[in-house]
Amino acid sequence: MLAVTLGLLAAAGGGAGVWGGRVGLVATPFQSAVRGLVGGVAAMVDRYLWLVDAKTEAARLRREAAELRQELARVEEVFQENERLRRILEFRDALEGSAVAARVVGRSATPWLRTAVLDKGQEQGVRMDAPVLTPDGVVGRVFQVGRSASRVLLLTDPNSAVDALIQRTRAQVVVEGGLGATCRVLYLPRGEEVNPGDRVVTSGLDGVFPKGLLLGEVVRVREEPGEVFQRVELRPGADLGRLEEVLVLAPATETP
Amino acid sequence: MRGFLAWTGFLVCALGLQTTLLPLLVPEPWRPDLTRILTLWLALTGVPRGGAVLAAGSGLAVDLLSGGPLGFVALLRLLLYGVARPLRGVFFDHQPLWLLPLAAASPFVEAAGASVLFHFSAPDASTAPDVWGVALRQAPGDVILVVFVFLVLEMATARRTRLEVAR
Repeated sequence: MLAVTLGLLAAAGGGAGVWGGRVGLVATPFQSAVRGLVGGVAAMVDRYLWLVDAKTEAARLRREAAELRQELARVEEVFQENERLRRILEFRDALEGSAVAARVVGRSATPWLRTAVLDKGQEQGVRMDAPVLTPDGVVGRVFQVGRSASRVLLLTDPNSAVDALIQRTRAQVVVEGGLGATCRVLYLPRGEEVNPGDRVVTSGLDGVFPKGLLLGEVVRVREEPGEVFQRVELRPGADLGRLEEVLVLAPATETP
Repeated sequence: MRGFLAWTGFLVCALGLQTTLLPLLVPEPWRPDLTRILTLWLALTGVPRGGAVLAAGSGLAVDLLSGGPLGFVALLRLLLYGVARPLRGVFFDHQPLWLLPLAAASPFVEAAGASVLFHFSAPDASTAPDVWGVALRQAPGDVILVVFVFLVLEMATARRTRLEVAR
């Protein structure tokens, strides 16, 4: 109030004359103080309003960032799926005979069996004993077929046995599942050359798998005293724990 | 009867989870077997009645879902139920911590049964399947899983008791 009164007096003096000048001199610090106070309050209000806006803006940006992250994850998933499907299609083109692409939609509900459920069945051309593959290697064979679903016996199941060849030496063996992550290579006589890293392929003699499909690589070789055959372990080429899409071939009996 | 039906639903959900979602979420060497843990609960608590029937039924459902020989897992579940059943009083009255070694032992109990069954189902197999390896891989995961499952079931039982008392 004082500052305003002095200000008015100074204004009334028009800046001329002794009184006008003195009042002006006295009023100036008060005027500055008032201006500073008002300016400070105005700035505070301004900042507060800006902060409220900023908070809303930050919330909006956070929401947008979360949405974009989700979108990115979805795009990445689609990209990876496209990549896998492209590999499967290229692989199918390279194969002889017809093949059906299928998704793995279920697993065996117990660790004592190694099976997988596919979303394609008889109606889509899947037949009993049809070989199931990925571009990385053989997965197993179909052992149950429904109208629109089928079940695959994986290479690692103890009931699975595939006639095979050591690719480098052409030694004939049988690859049998044993419930573990690896399979056993049976009937390889002592003295027959085999090394870790050797590739094992189907021989085509079992009437189920065409010749030359990759089963996996030898990871361990042992010779036990007193045993006729070597103990050889094979890691399947296909990652049987992370199967998503597979190719189902026509059974060997139907392949020309 | 209500408890029996509720548990049937429970086992169906567990089967659905362990065949579809869980294999995608957990690393490969361990296969989460919820129905085995639930069989332990049925044997140790006696709630609901007819636990042996439920255990065998869930085993049959596993057989059907996995495409294995019918009765294979059902027999394993009955074996586990039979081994755990005598510990019913001991478990809750004295030492709940016994649950952990029991959970760790359950895959080995089933492995013993499985090796016998494999021997009879495929007598001409060149080598026996690595059932003990499977049990070894299963045991650590089952110990962790059993804590969660039993906590959930305990909480569900306590809530139901509170509701009944309030009524």
